[in-house]
Amino acid sequence: MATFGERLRYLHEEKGLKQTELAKMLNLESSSTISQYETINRIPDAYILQRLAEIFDCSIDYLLGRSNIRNGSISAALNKVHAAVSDDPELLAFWQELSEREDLQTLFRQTKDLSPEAIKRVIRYIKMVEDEEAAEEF
Amino acid sequence: MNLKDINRLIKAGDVRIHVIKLSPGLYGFVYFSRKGRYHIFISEELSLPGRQEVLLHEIHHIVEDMSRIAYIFGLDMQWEQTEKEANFFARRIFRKIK
Repeated sequence: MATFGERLRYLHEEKGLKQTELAKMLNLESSSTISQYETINRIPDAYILQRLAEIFDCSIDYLLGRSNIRNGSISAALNKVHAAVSDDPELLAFWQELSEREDLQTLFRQTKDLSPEAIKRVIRYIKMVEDEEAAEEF
Repeated sequence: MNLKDINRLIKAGDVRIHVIKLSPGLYGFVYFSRKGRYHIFISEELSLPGRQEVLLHEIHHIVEDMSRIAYIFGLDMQWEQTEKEANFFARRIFRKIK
């Protein structure tokens, strides 16, 4: 999993912020502090961590590299899937493994919140794709 | 991104399209597999123009969002900016090809 320094660099570049701009947003005297966070993995105090989490809309665990789940809304979505597949042991095992992937990427075109049955169907399709692609190797 | 870029992406073979039965309220979704392929699932209930619009919506996600964000599971994000931008893109391109 990524370090704090790697996460911070990724997030500030993703947002298109310069180190000087980020330092200003954090009321730091110099951008060299940001550089230290990123290069020697210096961990800031709790106040700075909280501000960074607000600026980048992510959890502190994500910032510190303790979790791959970026924010609360993703966490809620993952819990919703877990609940939807919990009565199907095979699908649940597949989902638990899938949600641990560091590069999990799934986006939905939906018009309303999905029912547990609808979510279960989506996970079944994803499993089907993974099973088929795994079978290609043999 | 324009129509040429979309064509190139599909021709490269890293995007697979599946038209399937989905539950009401879900028009489609895109999934990035372990093998590094993008799988776009589209509801068979949609009309042809509806399917084309969902395809463009998901392609926008692949190019603009999934290349940028390492970990995302976008369930129930229909009101978020990412979704609005993908809808805007799909409608703009769709008007061009209609």
